[in-house]
Amino acid sequence: MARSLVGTPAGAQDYLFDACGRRREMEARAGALFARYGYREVMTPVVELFELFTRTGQPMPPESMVKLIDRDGRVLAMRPDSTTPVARVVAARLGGEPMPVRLYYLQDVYRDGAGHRGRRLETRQAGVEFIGAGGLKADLEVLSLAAEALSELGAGEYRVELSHAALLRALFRALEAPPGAVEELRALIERKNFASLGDKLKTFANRPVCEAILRLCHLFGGAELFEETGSLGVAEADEALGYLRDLYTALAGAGLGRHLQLDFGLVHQLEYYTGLVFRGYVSGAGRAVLTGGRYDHLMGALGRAAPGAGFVLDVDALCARAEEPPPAPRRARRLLHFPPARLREALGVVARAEQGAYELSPCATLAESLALARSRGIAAVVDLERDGAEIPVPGAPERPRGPAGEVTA
Amino acid sequence: MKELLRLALTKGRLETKLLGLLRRAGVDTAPLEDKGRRLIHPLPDAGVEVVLAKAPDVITYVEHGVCDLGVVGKDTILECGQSFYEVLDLRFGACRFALAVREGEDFFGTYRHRRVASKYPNVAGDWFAAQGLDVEIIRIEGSVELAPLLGLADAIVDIVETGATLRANGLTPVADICPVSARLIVNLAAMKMKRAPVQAFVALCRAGLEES
Repeated sequence: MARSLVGTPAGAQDYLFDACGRRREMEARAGALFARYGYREVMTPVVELFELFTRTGQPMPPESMVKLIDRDGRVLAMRPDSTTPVARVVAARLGGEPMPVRLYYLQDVYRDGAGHRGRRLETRQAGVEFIGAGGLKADLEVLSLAAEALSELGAGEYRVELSHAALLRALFRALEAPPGAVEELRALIERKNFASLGDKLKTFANRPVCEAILRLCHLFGGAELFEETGSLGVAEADEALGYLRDLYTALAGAGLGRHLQLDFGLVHQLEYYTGLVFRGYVSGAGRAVLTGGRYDHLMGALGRAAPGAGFVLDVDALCARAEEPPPAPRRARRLLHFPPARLREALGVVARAEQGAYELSPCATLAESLALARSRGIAAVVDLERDGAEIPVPGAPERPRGPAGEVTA
Repeated sequence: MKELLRLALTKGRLETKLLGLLRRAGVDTAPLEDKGRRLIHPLPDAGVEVVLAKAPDVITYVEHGVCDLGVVGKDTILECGQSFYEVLDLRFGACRFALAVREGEDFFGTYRHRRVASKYPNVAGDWFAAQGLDVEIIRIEGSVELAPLLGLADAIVDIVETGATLRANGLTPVADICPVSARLIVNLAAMKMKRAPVQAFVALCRAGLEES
């Protein structure tokens, strides 16, 4: 067969047997947790209008969206994130509902450009959006839920890392740098490339702001950072710092202090997020398994101005970290041979039996059923033509590496 | 024994240079000088175990978090780097990216379709785009100098140390693109989850740099 017909596109993959179970279980646990806090589930279409993502301040570059063209020539995109579609739902479908609205989703997002670098084209996410409430207590709710999700689903040590989008945004504005230069600075800060950052900042005249940026980017760690940072010399940035401190204090008071850390150099999607930004890490995963933040401009772009905040969990990254489940119990399995006239009876047998105890035989003759049972390692054939007599299958080969549950009567 | 961080180290020249730097910082590097058949070499003095790899693989290992730290050239980072922290310029392996043309050729003055050969198509493409020049980039794996000689390309973008190889092949550097040297890179999550040991290793490298 042609190779192109059996391969999956780069970055996409199949999930088989146990892997499906682990995914579904992880989703069920995430969903149960979100529901416990009053979040309700929504599902949005895989394809949306391309403009939904390009005209709402979504920072996803257009080239990394998977695009389609419909019959009217409109460009569609396979959703690169779920926050924007969920916000659209709130703007378009929940107009009659009083704010705030708490919604969650368990669905895939699609991002192109994965290439052969082991990145995924299709990513399963579990996420929440808390729309219509802003301020300290709303942020605390979202952060506590994020911490609880990592604690419950992460199986081990976890960290929630906080920052505030206004910190660097205010400093960049005070620097009066052209947009190209800001992007360059942002990239250097994102990589913690301190040497090049220092060199680049030397090209700007405003020394105190340059020093504040450089100082800020070196700062990641625990609560001691608040003392170390002091004033940044820009009112908006200092205000953001004070706000983070309030958040930190409240979360530490709730017993989460041990799991919190700060990274003031978090510059991911600086123009999209309006306030709090955060990430979650679990031990053993090579990148953040949770990202989130406050996006108070998104709803306005959709015509129903409202504050909003939320986060997403990377379901597959969490599954990879979760403990391997115990192997499924070995179940007795029989091949059920029946003539077409006794279909109802055969279905009855399967319906009454334990899950997976019987397999229906597709064979016309008993001899063929016996041969099939032998080749599949099934130990007995039950023949409805002979009142359900059980015929042992001699020499059924043991299948030491077969899928779980597929051995011996 | 405390858990060691895993360091992916680019085989060859950067390997030798890094070991020199660690020795200056007081680390016993003997386990890496007599490698035997092992593939993972513990350096307990430095708090790391070392995996030797080709440069692009160093980046892949660190991005995926199977290694916490990596030592790799800026050239490779520019060509295929994406998401990791680049925390320290180790200063060794210094050279530069340059554009070189056949001697006597006016590369910028012509309106002809220009072709540029490079082992680093992304670096070359990004630089020409930033200059506002439309050129065709051709990827070459081996000796890039050969491409202009054979008439495949008008110019090359490559790493230049002394320029001797260029001159020997009738090429002249006409523009510097950027300097290159070895960098210490850190996995995004390791920086957060293993902060203290990561910073200890960065400090160790800094100490070695100051000794030299």
